[in-house]
Amino acid sequence: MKTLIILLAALLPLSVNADLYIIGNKDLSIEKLEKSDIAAIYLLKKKHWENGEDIMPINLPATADARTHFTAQVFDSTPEKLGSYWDKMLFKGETPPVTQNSEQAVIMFVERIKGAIGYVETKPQSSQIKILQQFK
Amino acid sequence: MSFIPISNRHALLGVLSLTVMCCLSPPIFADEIESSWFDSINVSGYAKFAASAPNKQPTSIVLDDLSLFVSAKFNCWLNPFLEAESYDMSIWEAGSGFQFNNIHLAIERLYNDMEITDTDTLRTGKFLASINHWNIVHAAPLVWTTNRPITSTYSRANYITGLQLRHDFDALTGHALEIYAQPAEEFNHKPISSHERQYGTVAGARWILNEDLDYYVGVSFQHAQVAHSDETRNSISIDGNWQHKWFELESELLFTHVDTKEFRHHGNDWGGYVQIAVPLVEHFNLITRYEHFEYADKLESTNTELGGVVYRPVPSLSFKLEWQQTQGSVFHNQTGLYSSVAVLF
Repeated sequence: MKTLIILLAALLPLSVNADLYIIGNKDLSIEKLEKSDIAAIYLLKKKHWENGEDIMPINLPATADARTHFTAQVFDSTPEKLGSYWDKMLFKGETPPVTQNSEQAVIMFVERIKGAIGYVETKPQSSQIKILQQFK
Repeated sequence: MSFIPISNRHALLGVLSLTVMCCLSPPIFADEIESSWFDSINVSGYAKFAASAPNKQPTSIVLDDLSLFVSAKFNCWLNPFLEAESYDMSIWEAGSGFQFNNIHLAIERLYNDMEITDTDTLRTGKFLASINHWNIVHAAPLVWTTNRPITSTYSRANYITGLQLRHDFDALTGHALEIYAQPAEEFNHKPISSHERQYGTVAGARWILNEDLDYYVGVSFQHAQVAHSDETRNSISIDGNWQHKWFELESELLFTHVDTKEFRHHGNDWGGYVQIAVPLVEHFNLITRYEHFEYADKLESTNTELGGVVYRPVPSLSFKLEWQQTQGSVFHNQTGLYSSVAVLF
């Protein structure tokens, strides 16, 4: 039992301190995104990149640790609150972020869709991806 | 014709089948994506079943709303939106039994958004009037109670057929201004009761001071000419909502000056409500609301107290049970027990 507690205590800081990477397609004209811009994109208020192309925000399931991390880091809020906001935006005619089942699916999506933006906790190694922001 | 009665069970089955197909359609995954115009289209909707046992009226079960909305984002100039709604479909009533022959259909919204600039959007068509947040987001799964406060719906035009210009001052805080106008009567309006009015020309504005994840505040103005009448209505209201960790507080205050040569008990409609939602355990929430409303055309005002429980396992699904106690002039929703199940899909 004591070993288990020590093991859990050792693992806990690792999950809490995981980095969060905001990623975009390598062909995007920008190199960095400010936190306020990321928030505006995921609030569905900022819809176009500087060159006029549509922005497509990508999401992870509500139960994903990375989503909790993302919502806390960018909005200082919870996935439930953000989910409720997106439901209201859906009723208003705005399309909420497309949900992908895993971080790997998010990376694949951003690799293939030029205007896509996503968030992951695992640093992507793909040459088709650029990191637009990193949070501790 | 404002609505389409259909005495045909096949029509109901068709609508329900479409709903089920939308609910069961698989999500889109990255490796399945091919670029086509169809990717720009989004289909959603919501349904609300309500069971009511009000005083002085029979107990009933109603499919209150079955709504489908289709939106598309093609380019800056072409972003159409359609919401078709089947409403007030009585399923069972005490004394009458089951019934499946009473369907009403209406075009709730039909408009196009043109993104003139990054911060300016021009909407043309039929849309929800920006009179308060409740009217803009009135889908049953997104609100806390089965019954809507009188303040949020009465006294003003709820729908506009015309133009609306929205300017966003700040994307992050939601600070924005919406100005709208309706040159003639509403397109495809629902039938109205003796308590309600049909509006002709309408003009109004809503100044949204803030709308983010934590709170919203908005101030609204509306000038409306009642159709086929000499009555004009000028209203001003303020509404807000604050989502704290331990509660959600919401309120609206409304004042409408009514100008007409016809007899009225008072010169104005005015009223307001305060609503508090408190999270309990395991997605259960306690809801209370108090509302006072005074009508220009009724001698007595209305006082309504409401208490209830809402089970919301996910934001898009809710089960509601509430008791409403109404005194004075009753516009709608007698004293009684109300419940509903609502889902957004």
